[in-house]
Amino acid sequence: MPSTRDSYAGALETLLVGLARTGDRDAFAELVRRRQSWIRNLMRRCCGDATLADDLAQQVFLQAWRKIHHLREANRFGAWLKRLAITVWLQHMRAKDALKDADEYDETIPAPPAAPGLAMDLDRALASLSEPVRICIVLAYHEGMSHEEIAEITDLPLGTVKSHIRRGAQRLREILSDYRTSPESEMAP
Amino acid sequence: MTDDRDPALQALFAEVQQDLPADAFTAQVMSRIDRLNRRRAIAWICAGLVLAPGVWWITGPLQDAVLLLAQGLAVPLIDLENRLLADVVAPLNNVASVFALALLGLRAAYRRVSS
Repeated sequence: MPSTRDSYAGALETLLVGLARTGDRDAFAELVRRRQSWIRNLMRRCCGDATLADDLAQQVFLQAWRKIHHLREANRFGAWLKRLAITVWLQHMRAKDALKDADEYDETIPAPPAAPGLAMDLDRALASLSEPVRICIVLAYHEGMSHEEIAEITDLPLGTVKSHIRRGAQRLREILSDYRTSPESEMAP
Repeated sequence: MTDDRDPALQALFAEVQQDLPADAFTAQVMSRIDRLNRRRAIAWICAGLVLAPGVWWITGPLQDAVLLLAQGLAVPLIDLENRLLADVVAPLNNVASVFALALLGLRAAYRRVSS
């Protein structure tokens, strides 16, 4: 006889969301299993620290469990979860009072020790950006969000978002120049 | 995606996406959820235990007050001799209907002033 986990493994996400809304713990666990990699990767790009990223990702899922009965459309679960994740990250940053000293990048931030691997190099490069610039870059490049969507979700003016992304991308290009191999990667800022 | 993006950077971001193992993380999340649910249940039980004597103590006076209020609101404005007529106009011929009309009038005046 298949376990609950096995029977949920092949279920549609909308069905799982519907069950989780009624308090079905196993359905929610399956949702966590499916979405954890995405949320943890997003948080890792945001904070550059795998332990902190996992803790924040757990907070995202805890909030999702608390609020899932408010979610009206089950097929919007992914977008809703992303918004929760960004809110958790912004709350974390506000707690650190980091958003107010916001310009381009802070060169006084010491870079973490060099580690092999593109992921570590990218996280190190992202860590050299100020928090607002980093969140704009991550949402644009990791999540593929438009400038308008980023402005809406971060409460930053559209012009500021565009400026952050342009300057942040320029900074990342400088730091990660070793990874540029093709001629088409030579883009105007 | 309509905004200009650096394709090389986009490729880098796509490349670092890792498929992270789910089991340990999911177990941690569900364990935190179980703790949260237990704390909530305990909080509800404690609140019930604290509130129950208060509710028991206040129920009697509250019931008396509601009864008194209902009786006061049902007092007829005009004493009618004809029993049938009194029953027909009873929904309007009482103190409560005066309050209701006053509230409706205030609401209409507020809407007119605020619009």
